[in-house]
Amino acid sequence: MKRHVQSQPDAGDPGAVGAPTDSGGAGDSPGLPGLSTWGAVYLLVFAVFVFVVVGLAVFTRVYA
Amino acid sequence: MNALDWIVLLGSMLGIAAYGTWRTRHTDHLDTYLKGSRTTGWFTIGVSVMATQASAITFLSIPGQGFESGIGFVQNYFGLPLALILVCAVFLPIYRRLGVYTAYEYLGRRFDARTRLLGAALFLLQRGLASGVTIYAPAIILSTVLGWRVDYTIVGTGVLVIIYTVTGGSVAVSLTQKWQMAVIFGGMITALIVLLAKLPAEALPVAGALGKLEAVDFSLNPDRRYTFWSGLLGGLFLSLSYFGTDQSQVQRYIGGASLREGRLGLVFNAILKIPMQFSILLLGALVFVFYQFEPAPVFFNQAEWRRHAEGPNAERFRVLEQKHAALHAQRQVAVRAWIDARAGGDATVQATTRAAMVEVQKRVDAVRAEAKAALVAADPRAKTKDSDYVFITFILTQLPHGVVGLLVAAMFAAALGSKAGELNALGTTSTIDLWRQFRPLAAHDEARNVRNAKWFTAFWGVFAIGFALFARFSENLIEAINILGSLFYGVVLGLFLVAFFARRVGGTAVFWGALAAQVLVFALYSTLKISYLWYNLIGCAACVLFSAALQLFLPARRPPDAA
Repeated sequence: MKRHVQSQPDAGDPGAVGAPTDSGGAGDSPGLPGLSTWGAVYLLVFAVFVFVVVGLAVFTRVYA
Repeated sequence: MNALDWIVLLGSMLGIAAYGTWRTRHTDHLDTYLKGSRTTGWFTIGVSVMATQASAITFLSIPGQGFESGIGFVQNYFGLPLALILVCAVFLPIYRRLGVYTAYEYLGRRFDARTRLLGAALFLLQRGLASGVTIYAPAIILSTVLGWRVDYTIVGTGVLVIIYTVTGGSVAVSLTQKWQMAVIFGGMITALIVLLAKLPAEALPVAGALGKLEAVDFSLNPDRRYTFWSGLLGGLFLSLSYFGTDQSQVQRYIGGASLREGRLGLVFNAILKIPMQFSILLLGALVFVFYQFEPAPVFFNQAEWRRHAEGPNAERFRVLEQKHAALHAQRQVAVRAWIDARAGGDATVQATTRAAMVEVQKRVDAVRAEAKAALVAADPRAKTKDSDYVFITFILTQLPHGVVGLLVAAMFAAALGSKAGELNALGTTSTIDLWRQFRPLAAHDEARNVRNAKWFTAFWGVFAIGFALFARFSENLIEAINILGSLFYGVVLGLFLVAFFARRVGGTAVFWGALAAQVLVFALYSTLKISYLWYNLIGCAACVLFSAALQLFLPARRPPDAA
């Protein structure tokens, strides 16, 4: 992971702040099997959300 | 509670607190104290985010909500996964890239010192007041049913959480939250298993027939309390404010081993939160079915009921109890008749028995409403909301010893976990956004920073205990604190949305735009009669629009350098 030291504190930030932790760049891949990009992970989360809502709608229809 | 319950309760709570304190006793680096260990993985982050959000009230009130109104409340969480995707994609990478300790520190980088101070002040005001309620609300319920003194419960839980949060900071909070969540899940799953063992196979159809299993409602009718649309839109804004800008959450995920770990921790919540809330609500709906077959009290806050039932109106209360008991016998017969009709397969008989079952339930509800009216007649200040007492009553009267201790421990674990997250955030914001802002020369003294963070954390802990002990809380005041949150959350979210997406807007425009939006929210709140949830949306929209409009009359902002 790339780390770099912040050069100057900005205006309005009088003291040293925590060191930047990472760049958030392409090196930070999800590392999940079958999901090589974060876009794919978010798509999976959305798909799970849709699946859960459809599941709940079916549950409502079956029991209500 | 017997000796076994006490051993389970005290063993788990004191054990977790002692373990957290001992393991983190040497935390003396500011970065570790405020952001947690650099080796923290996604699972710990995910559990910590979940534990901070889930307070004891979640596990006491939500089953009660399922009991009383059914599982439709789950729709309130529909905006959460979408909000967490936005936090993962936009908020978190910026916070980590800049290496900030607090969300408001980012506002200082993006705008100026006064905007940072405004964001931090709004957070401290709202979260500081809410911290008293977080400790008071479960204490009053647990003390009432367990017969403990409420002040002892408040001080006991408050001191315990202060000890390990002050000692180990963010590391201790995450470490203890992981074990506390294990106790919570262990307890809730055990309760579900015991409950299922006590229920007939037709429990779900009974709950459905009595209107408790309407999970999704696509209606556009604004009069409906919970719908898919209000949950999606309102939930999106609420969750975005809470997870993206509330330091008690931001602090949970900005640390950790890498950006990946933080993101996966949030994804963990985005996937699990709705199923988790559904399970807790379903537990409440199943407790409702349980009380179709077993005698239930007419009013679940039995301590409140007995206080008035033994007074001058004793006869009225006794008649209500008798009416409720008689209706319970009728209800039992009606439910069994419907189950038999269902097994028989005759549609006409099914419809007739179902209508009879629903009718008896309506009469039971009417008697419960009458009981609440009797309480108010006896004492206008009487607490009439008993749904929070349903699940704890079930636990104490129906579960075996040992499991009772585990479930009470689960409630306290939830209280400690969410409280620790709050104190940690309040201490951090006070240190980073207030103290360091006004003492810039001391900012480079790491040991002094850690020492101050500990003092501020302890201060907020003592403040929360004092507020819980001495403020005169009522059911309405607890709601008032929620209203207070909604009045501020929208404007704070607006500040961050401008920071992220309106790159031409500078500090002066956003500062005055936010103040104007806050004044507008207060003005609307004092004149309009709309649900307080709408103020999240109004405050946010007003802040963004006012800031953009003001910027038109101000000199152009320098090209952005921080974000």
